[in-house]
Amino acid sequence: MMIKPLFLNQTLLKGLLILGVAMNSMVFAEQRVTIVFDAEMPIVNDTKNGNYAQLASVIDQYRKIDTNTFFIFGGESLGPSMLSTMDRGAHIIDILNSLQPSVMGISKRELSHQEDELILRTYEASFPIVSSNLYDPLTHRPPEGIQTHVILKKGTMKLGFISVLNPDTIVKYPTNRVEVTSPEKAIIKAVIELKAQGANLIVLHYSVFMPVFDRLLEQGTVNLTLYKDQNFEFSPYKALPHHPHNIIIKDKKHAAVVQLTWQQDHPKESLKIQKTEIDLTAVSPKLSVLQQEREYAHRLNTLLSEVLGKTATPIDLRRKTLRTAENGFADLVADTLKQFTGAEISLINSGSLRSDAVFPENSILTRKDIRAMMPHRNTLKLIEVTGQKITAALEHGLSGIDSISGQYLQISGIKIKYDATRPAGTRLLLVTLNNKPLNPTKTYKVATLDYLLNGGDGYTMFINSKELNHQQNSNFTLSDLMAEKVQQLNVISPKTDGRILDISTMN
Amino acid sequence: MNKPSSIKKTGYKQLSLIKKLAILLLMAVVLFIGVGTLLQTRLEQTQLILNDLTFNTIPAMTNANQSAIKSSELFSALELLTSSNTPVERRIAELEVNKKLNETQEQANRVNYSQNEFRLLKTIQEEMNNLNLLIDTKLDIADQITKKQKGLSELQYQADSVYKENTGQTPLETTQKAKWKIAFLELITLAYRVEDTDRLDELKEIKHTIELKLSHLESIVEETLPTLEKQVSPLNTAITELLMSDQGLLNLQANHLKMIGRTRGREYFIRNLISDYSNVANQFSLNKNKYLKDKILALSNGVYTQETWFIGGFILLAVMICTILALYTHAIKRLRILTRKIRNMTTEPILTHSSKDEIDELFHVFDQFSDTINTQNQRLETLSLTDSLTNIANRRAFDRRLFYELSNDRTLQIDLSVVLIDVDFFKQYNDTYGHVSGDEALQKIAMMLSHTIQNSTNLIARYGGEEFVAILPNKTAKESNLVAQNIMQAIRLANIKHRMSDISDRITISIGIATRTKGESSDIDTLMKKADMALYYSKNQGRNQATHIDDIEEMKDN
Repeated sequence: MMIKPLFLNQTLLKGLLILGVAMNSMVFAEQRVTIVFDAEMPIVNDTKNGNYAQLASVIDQYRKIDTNTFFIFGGESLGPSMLSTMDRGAHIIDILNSLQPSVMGISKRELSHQEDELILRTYEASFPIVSSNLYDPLTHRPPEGIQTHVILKKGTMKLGFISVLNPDTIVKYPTNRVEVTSPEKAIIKAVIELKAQGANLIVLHYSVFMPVFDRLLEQGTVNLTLYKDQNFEFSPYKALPHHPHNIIIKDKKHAAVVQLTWQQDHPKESLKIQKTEIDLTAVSPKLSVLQQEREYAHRLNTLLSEVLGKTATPIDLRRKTLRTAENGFADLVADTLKQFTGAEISLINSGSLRSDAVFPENSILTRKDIRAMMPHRNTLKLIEVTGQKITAALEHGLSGIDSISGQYLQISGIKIKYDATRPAGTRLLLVTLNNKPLNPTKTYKVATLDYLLNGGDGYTMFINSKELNHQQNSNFTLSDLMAEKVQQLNVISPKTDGRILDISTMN
Repeated sequence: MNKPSSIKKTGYKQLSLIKKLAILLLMAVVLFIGVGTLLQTRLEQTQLILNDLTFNTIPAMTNANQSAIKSSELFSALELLTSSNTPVERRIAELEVNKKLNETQEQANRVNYSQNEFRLLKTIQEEMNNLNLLIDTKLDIADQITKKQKGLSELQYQADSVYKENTGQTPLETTQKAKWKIAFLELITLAYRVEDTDRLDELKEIKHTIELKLSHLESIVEETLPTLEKQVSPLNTAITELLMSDQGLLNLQANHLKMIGRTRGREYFIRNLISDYSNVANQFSLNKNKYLKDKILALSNGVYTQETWFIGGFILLAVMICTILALYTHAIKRLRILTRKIRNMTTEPILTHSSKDEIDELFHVFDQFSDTINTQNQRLETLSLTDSLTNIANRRAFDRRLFYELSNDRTLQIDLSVVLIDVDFFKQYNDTYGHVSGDEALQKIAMMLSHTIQNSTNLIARYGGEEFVAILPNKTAKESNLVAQNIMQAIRLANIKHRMSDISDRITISIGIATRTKGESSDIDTLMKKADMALYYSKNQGRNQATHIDDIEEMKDN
């Protein structure tokens, strides 16, 4: 029973070997490879934007058609989600194992649980995890288990794979020690090594767009780039012309299937690329993976199905509305935080509020909804900060408006006036506390989140601030606080009250 | 002019003083009651809060604290579970976990937790069960891997013996066998690497190499002599099976690594759940603590305001007492002034009475003052009823007396006669002797009349000018005629010279008398008219004579 399939397997292998040798000997042998690429899938069993089971079906389908199929996963999925904050992304790796990726590139959210957790995930992954420009000063090497580059082999074909992070990543997700080196240098170094190992073509994955990638394609340093960003439309580079080999997926639901063909003897020049985008939501899911996803997704159902209350007014947590203006629900969160900690002022980054959803008026709010709104396990901090630093923080928050950055601050205790049309760094016009301008030299009691205190989203001004005691429960999270608040009020009616005023929208 | 207004003012002030005193007293009473009630309610509140503290808040806090402590014990139990390397260790750890879970659950039952805490505990329970299963599977796989390891050493031993058994055969056989042995041992070495591999990714690479090596081994066997093939073929199959089958070493190790990953994931998961539970339990306890603090704060604030209230109340009370005292002193002062003023108005010297207080003294002075007023009133009355010239009763006194005598009850008891007297030729007397002599003559006549008639019952009055009138109660007409004759006699005896009288050289008088007999009703006008008619008759008959009206009427009748 056991020997027969094994035997078959061996003959197949042999056949492939012979085929490979034969192809190698042909002068104008044409090479063909299919790459299935996707990324940004932090939520399992996501019915709205496509899930892993649907992606698995796509991969299976292409693997059947073309044995030379690589599944490249672009990451950006180990956080943030309710489950990831609980198990630090372990379940995503477990599900990915079922999809058998050829390689995974690291994106910024892979660092949401700090580098050591990511290293642990590399042990659990049945696929190589790559980042070409992560550097651990402790070992003078890339972090353990993370590879700077890999060669994807099928027969004689060798695809070199590299993946780079934007240096700003550790501004957004501060790490304990690892550093992000220059992407360009890292790429060149990795390409040299890959070429030495006989890579035919170089595939580059990145998670934040930089114009250098188009240039590298132009120069032929890399031959194909893979990038997925559902918010690319907000990027200042969206209107730039891109190299045809720069694959950019802008739709969250889409996976890319890229078919590469080239001539063995001059791969770069003869490379032809055909890209197809597949809407995952239209694909029927692979049942075994769906089962696995559901098991994970339903894990907290007992806990999270509890109804906490309802909202009398609509809650709009869509990315753009939340990150460019005052938001009623954010006001409530900021007010609650301020009240809870006994601060004069509270500041929270809009990025701490998630779900990208709209809750119409009279929506029932469950614990799950609250967790989904605040999936990070952010703890609450009370610090002493000068008026000048507060102003600097507010200005920093406003400087990311153009890219819809999560650093936009939602506030309580103070009122601000700004002009979004002015250049970044000069937008803040007025900050008042109790109708009086903020005194730059005076120290204020400010409530905020551990994320911002540790310098997240580039808020370096708060690092090393004097921490004050409040309530003594250092692990109490923002979502716990809001769950308690909603439960206590039963009916919330979040409304804006004009505490944030953009004068450029006042016409 | 000043006096009445000042009296009026004093009167007004006195009225408002009473009101003020009444209001102040009322307020004082209300304040006393208010402060008392406040104190009482505060005491009751304090009692309530203390009760709440003793019976609810402090036990709740203790329970919440205990609950938080239990959750940290759960952590260590979980640690024990995840680090267990043998089924026995796992079972012991499971027992410990369940024990701690039960204890936590029991503790939670004692606390008035919301749904969330119980759901959390339930979820922790569920997750722990799942984790147990995972660890079980993991340990089971580890066990199978150990068995496969034994199988490996067994195979190695067999390979060795196969190699040794057949030494000394054909050189071709020896070469082939050596070739096989090398390939086989390479595989065994690779197989040993499998169990040391802790990365799924590396394992995949090893699997790939093993596949290549296996096919290489297979190709060696295909080329070997049948005798040798017969010897090594089972070993080849065995190692292929051991490594590559569904339950082969490669798959087992892959599963083992996956299980390690899942266990880790689930452990984090449970850790976070326990941390969540500990957080909410802590928060619950902190909320209780805060509630307690708020209550105590409210209480101490209450005591503080109570104090303020008390002090305020007492100050107010003191102010009131002072006001009352001030008002009282002011009133006493005014009483003294009043007393002095009244004393000044009293003509008689006032004996310094041993008066008890100002009010006694005032009473005393008032007594004296009213005595003075009475005397003055009597004097005034006397003055108003006396003719200032003749010092006998005047016309007003006569009218009043006659009105009295004619009242009904007197009418029934007695007779009453009225005697009207007129001095004859008095105008001529005045013209002759002057007004002063006239007045002196009238005074003399009045004195004579008074001496003749005046007693306790009779009354003589000047009726006007040179006319006099007498009221003679209880005198009949006859008796009154007699009185009239006495009067005439007295005037004659007075012997007042009158040169110009037509009928004598002395002053004479004419008299008219009227009598109302007992039981007969009459009025002043009628009686006086009758007396006047009688006087007129006397004058007509030549003066210096007395006529009773009844006599004229008798004459007429005759």
